[in-house]
Formats: sequence, structure tokens, C-alpha cells
Amino acid sequence: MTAVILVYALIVLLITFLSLAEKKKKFVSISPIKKQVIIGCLFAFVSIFATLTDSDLGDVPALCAGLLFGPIAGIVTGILSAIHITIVALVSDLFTLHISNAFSVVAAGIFAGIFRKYLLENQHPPIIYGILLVLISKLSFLFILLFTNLSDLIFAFNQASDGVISTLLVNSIGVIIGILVARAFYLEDYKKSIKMKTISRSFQFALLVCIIIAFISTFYFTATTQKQIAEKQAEDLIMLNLQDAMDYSNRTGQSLDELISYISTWRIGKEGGIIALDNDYNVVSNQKFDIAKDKLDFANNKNKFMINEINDESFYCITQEYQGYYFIGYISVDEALYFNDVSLYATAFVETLIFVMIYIVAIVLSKMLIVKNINKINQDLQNISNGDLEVSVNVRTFKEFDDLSNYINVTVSTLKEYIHIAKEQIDKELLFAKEIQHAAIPSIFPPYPNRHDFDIYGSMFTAKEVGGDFYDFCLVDEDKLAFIIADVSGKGVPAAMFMMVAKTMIKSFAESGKAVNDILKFTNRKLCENNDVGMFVTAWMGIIDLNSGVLTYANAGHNPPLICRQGERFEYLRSKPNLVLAAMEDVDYQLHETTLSKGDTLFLYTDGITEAINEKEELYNEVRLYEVLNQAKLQSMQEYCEIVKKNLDDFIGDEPQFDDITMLAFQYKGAKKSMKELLVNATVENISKVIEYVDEELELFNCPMKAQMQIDIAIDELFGNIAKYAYNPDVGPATVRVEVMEEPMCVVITFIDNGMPYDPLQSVDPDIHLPAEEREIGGLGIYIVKKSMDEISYEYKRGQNILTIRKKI
Amino acid sequence: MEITKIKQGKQLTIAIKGRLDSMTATDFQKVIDENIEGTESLILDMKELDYTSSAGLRVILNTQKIMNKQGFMKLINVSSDVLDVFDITGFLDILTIE
Repeated sequence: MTAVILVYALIVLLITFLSLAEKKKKFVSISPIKKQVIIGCLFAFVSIFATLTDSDLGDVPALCAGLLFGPIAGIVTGILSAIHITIVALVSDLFTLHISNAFSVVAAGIFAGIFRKYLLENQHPPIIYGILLVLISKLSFLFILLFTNLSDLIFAFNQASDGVISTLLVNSIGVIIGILVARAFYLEDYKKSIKMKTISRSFQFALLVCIIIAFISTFYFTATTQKQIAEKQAEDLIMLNLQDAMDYSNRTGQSLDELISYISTWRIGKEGGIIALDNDYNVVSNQKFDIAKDKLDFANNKNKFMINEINDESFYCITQEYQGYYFIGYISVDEALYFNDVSLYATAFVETLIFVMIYIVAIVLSKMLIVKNINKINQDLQNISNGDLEVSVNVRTFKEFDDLSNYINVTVSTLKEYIHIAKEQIDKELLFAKEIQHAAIPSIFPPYPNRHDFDIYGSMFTAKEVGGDFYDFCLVDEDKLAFIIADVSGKGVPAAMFMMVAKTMIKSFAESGKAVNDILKFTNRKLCENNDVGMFVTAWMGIIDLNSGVLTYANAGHNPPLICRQGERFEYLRSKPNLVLAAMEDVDYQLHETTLSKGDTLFLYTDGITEAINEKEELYNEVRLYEVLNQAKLQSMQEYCEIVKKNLDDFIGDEPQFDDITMLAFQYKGAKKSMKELLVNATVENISKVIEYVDEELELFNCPMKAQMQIDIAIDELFGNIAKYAYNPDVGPATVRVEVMEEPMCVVITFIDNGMPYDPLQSVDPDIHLPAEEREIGGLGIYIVKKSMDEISYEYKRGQNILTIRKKI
Repeated sequence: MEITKIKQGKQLTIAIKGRLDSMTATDFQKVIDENIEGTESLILDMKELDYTSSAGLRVILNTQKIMNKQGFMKLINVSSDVLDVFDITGFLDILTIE
């Protein structure tokens, strides 16, 4: 008993040690084959110990080695312990016993290895496999024992059947302990692997159940029929002997008494014979038998074949009556059934072997034919699901898999088609969003053709995806121009939408007349309110007073623009940036101020320019921008933008454009030379007053006569129209503003009234080639003005008609 | 604006000094209305005319139409600036100018 416990303990220790070593990856450097050999040797030590201590657990280490660690380990253990056992055998009496042991150990190792490699595919074994292997190895042992002891089968048989059950139990427990210890170290993996049933495992289980049922039924059937045959043979034998005995007496003419006297020497088999009894059931033949008299119901059991206890042994008996005496023929049950038992063991072994073979072949076949192919398909599918849609499934071994492969490939192809269509759709939408983005940005230049006090030009080149850069400008009022450049974080449609929101907000705050830092402050607050997406905007905004040249500006985390003053070089207009917009509520923006003189130029841009990268992964940088602007002076704002873009394109080369490239160039051309305004009632009488008022100014600037005349006519026509129609039938006020601009010298006269909306430019030109009779009276005045003035423009804003004419003087 | 008229039988000569604008055009029109009847030959002397606006043109046009029916009209001493206006407005083809 202690030996058993010790062997168990050794097995636990060894498996623990090996599992920990494997887990901690201590012996990764050793090749797997060498590892198995070493493991095999270690288990062999345990096996030798088991044999030496007579624990009858010699097979368990080999089984554990093979089942848990691999076929090589199992075989090594088997061979080594077999060698040891053989040595022991050579010096012992029970040679065949030990040789059988040796054989069974090797068989155990081999079978365990086969099971692990081919049935379990090196996975952790279920407990049933351990028990099965114990059965197989024990059967091998029994069979070889019988085989090597054909001459003394009884001895062999006794050895074999001696404690079969306890052996099986002890060995099974040993293997189970080994499996459980190994399992304890890989509990998560084991739990994961049994989570979902596999075809293989379910098939194996079902097959195992079938085979066990088949085995038990055939064995039972065989056992039963064989027993019956044996018993029949025993019965026949006894009957024959009894007959013989009666006949013999008749033939030799012996008396009954003589028969009785020697009947006790009659042998049936080795331990069988005949007993004679008298009518009172007393033994009269010469044997000392303790017959259980109550079991002999002679009257009813004549000629009946039954089992009786004689001297505490079981015998088959038949009782016959003859001449007033009872004769009981008996034969030992053990003896009668002896060969039966042997052949049963042999049958069991062969059957087990056959069924195990069938089992293994069935499992392996199922794996090869089905599971392997399915796994291959699964592998391909996994590749496809990892994104490689070009993979095609090509398992063509059987028709079912051929069909499956084809269907899968068709499905993938269809999916690819859909993905392609969806992608095109997305591309179309992105393009559309880009068009919206472009449409929202001022793109018509010059934006204010009748303004000559400044020049402004902007351009935006978006990166492949819709970006969030923008620029914008607007005349806050007649004298103030606001302009802004901004960069929304992020890309794609969200950035574009955020950009639209920001742009609209800024413009509306600007038009309400706020100071530039307040515009940013209020915009920031509003943007923070609904900013779940976590976007932000950098911006640089300026408002210039076109009369005084005073520029106020504010910076929300944006790149500093470049400024070129008074014919000097472009320099960076740096200011400490405040926080970007939409990052945090309640940010105050600092108001900066500078004064621009005639000809001063500002260049605004986004980081798409300074952070552009070429193939060598160099940045374009602020330095290059500085240099290219300084080398290209005295150009129009459009030319500045174009030169920078060209220089940038040359720098970037073939690299794809990563970020939006946006720039805005502004030049202050100087205030008007003069400006004055007259407010009068719009009456025909006041026409001359207005003309005088304007002529005064024209004379100051030495306006040529002809121009003056044309201007006077224009005033007559336009002011006359206002007087006659704007407030008809009432009378209302009109403002006449006269401004003289430089470079080129021109006069701009603006007529403003609050009367009926009327756009004189809408009137159709008269046909001047008609003869007098057909000439229309009307429309001539405006026609004259259109033809004699350099520019005429009209807008209706805030309830006012604003008509502007300009003439070079 | 001053308008001088010289009537010689069926010939009427009107000289205009100053400007023909919205205000003065009506005066001019009045003069024409008062004197056009019976006139077969109308001469407009534009020597002193500074300029004319569309109001003036209207009057001239009307007058021309009337004279086309009852006689003949011509303009003399037209300054180049005024000629330009006539040119722009296509009046050169309608008026007789010397």
C-alpha cells in the first residue's frame, strides 16, 4: 500500500515539475525530441521504482509519459522499464510473468503515444482515455502471460486472474491522478478547449460508446454461449461416464456391491468422479464427502444437471438412479470451465484489440477526411476575415468540399462587389462634401471690384480627403474689412461640417460689429456648447479700418502671418497665441493692433504649407515660406498665392498632399484721398445743389472738363431718378457721398436712399439704331450713365438703395 | 440756362446757353411748345451748351419728331462733348448736325 502511495506521489511530483518548467519556459532551447527523450527517462525512473517496490504500478509511468507528453516519451519510458524488468526477470523464477510485464509496459507506452498523437492531436486527454489505456495494457499483459504459459495454463491463469480488478483500479487511479495534475496547470486552456464541442470529440465519444456497447454485447454473447457449450460438454461428459459405469457393471457381470466398491476410483476429468448413495442418501462408496444433503432433492432431480457444493467446492452433478442406488456423477466447475475462461480472455483481448483498431482508424479517418479539410477551409476564411479578400478557398478533395469552396468563393466575390460599390458611394459623397466646402469659401476674385483701397486673394487646395481649412472675409461696413484664416482639426466630413459651423458663426459675429477678439471669444463659447466630437479650430482674424489703416487682430492658436511693410522685407507678425477655438469655454482673446500704410501686405496661411513633407521627409518650414515671399515682391495678391503654391508643389514633388493648403493674401492700398457726404431731400430742385457739391470736390483734384461734364450728367440722371421715383408720391432724403481715390485717381459717387427698391441697372438698354419715330423716350438716362462712367454698381442692403458710380479723373 | 430765340418767318433759331438738365429741360420744352407751330425750319444753336442730360435729349427727340412732319431741323455748333453724347445714344443718326 505504501508503495502505491509513494509511486503516486512520485508521479505527481514529476508531472508538477515538468508542467511548471514548461510554463516558465525554462527549457525552450532544447529540441522537442530531446525533451521527450529526457521526460521518458525521468518517467522510467519512476517506473523502475514502482517495479522494485512491487507496487504493480509499472505501467502507469509509461502511460502518463505517452499520454501527457508524447509518443517518444512513452516509448522511451516503456523500453527503459522493460529493460529493467527483463533484467529482474532473468534472475527470478517467474520469468514469463515478468516478461509479460515488460511487454505490457512497452505496449502501454506505444498505445499511449498513439492515442496522444493521432486521436488527441497533442491536446490534453480526457480521463476516459486514461482508463481505456489501462485496460488495453492490462489485457496485453494477460494475453502475453497466457501465451507464454501454454504448457501451464492453470498457473498462468491463476496469476492472471489474481486481483485483476484491484490492479485495474489501482492503475486507473494512478493514470487519473497523472491526468488531473497535468490538467491543473493548464486549467484555462483546458476550460477553453472543452467549451465548444468539436466534431472530433463528439464523434470519438459516440464511437466510444458504440464500441463499448458492441464490445460488451459481443463479449457477453460469446461468454454466455461459450459457457453454455462448456456446461453442455460437462453434462455430456458426466452422462457418458455414468452410462459407462452402468454399462461396465452389466457387461462384466459385476454385482452392484462390487461396482459400488470401486466406483470411488472412477475419475471424471482431474477432479471429478462418481458417488454412490443408498436410499437414505448415505454415501456408500468409499469417499469422504460432505454433501449438502438438503441440496439434493433426488426425487425431483434425477437426471438433472446442476451445481452442488461438495467439500466446499463447486461441482457439476447429475444424479441417476440405478438398482435402488443413487449415483452422482460430478465434475469440478473450475475444471470444466477452465478452457472457457482462457478462451474468454483471449477473445476479450482480441476483441479489444480489434475494437481499438477500429476506433483509432475511424477517428483518424474522420479527422483526415472531414476535420482536416474543414480546418483548412476555416483557415482560409480566417485569412479572408482578416481583410485579404483575394484569398480563394480551394479544398477540392471531395464533392462536398468542392461545393463548399465554390460557394464560399462566390460569396466573397459578391461581397467584394458590394464593398466596391459602397466605396464608390462614399467617394462620391466625399466629393460632394468637398464641393460644398469649396462653394462656401469666397472664390470669386476680385470680390469687391469697385473697391480700390485694398486687394485680397485667397486660395485653398484640399487634401485628398475633405479637410477643414477655410478662409473668409467680408466688409463689416463701408470702411471695415474683416478677414480670417482657420484650420479645423481632423479630416473628412465631420471636419468640413464643423468648419461650416465655425465659419458661419464668425461671420455673423463679425457682421454685428464686434471687435475681433470678442468675435473669437463668442465664437469659441458657442462652439464649446455643442462640441461633443472634441474638435477644435485654430484661427487668425483681422479687421482693418480702411480709412485709417488700423488693423486689429487676434490669434487663436494659429500660425503667425507674414507682413511686408513700406517696401521692406516680409517678416513674421508674431503674437502670443491664445487657446484654439472650441477647446475650452470662457477663453479670453487678446486684441492686438498695428497700423498699415499704403502698400503693406499681409500673407496668411495654414500649417498645410509649413508642415508639408517631401520624399526625404523634410518639412517645407517657415523659413522656405519666408524666403519665397521675399524673393517675389511687388506682385498682385493672386500672384503671391500662385508663386507660393508653385514653390510648394516643387518642394513636395511626388509625395501625396497630406493636409489642406490654404492661403490668403491682403494688401492695403491706402485710404481715399478724401470723402464727404451730403444729405438732402431728393427733389428735382436739389439736383443742381448736388452737382455743385460734387463739382467742388472735382475741382480740388483738377478733374478734366469732359469727365466733370459726364459726372454732372450722371448726377442729373441718377439723382433725378431718385427724386422722381424713390419716394413717389412723397419726398424723402438721399445721401450723396463723394470719395476721391488714389492710384489710379478716380472719384466714386454713391447715392443712397431709403425709397422703393429699384435697381436701375436692370433696365433694358434702348435700341439706339431705331429711327426717330420709333425711338422710345425712356431708358436713355441710365444708358448714358452706363456708357460714360467707368463703373456702375448697385445693391439693396438694409432697406437702402445704394448706387455707386466711379470715374477716373 | 438761357434760351434765345430768333424767329424769321418760318425759320426759328433757338440758342441754348448753359446746361440742358432735368430742370432746364422743361423750360426748353416750354419754349419749343410755344414756338414750334408754323415753323418749317428749326435751327438749334448749341454753341453755349455745356451739356445735355437725357431730359434734354428727350426734348430734342420730341422736337425732331415734330419737325420731321412739318419741316426740317438741324443743330449747329455742337461741342465735341455733346457730340459724344449724341454718338453714344445713337442720336447722330436721328439728328442733322452741322
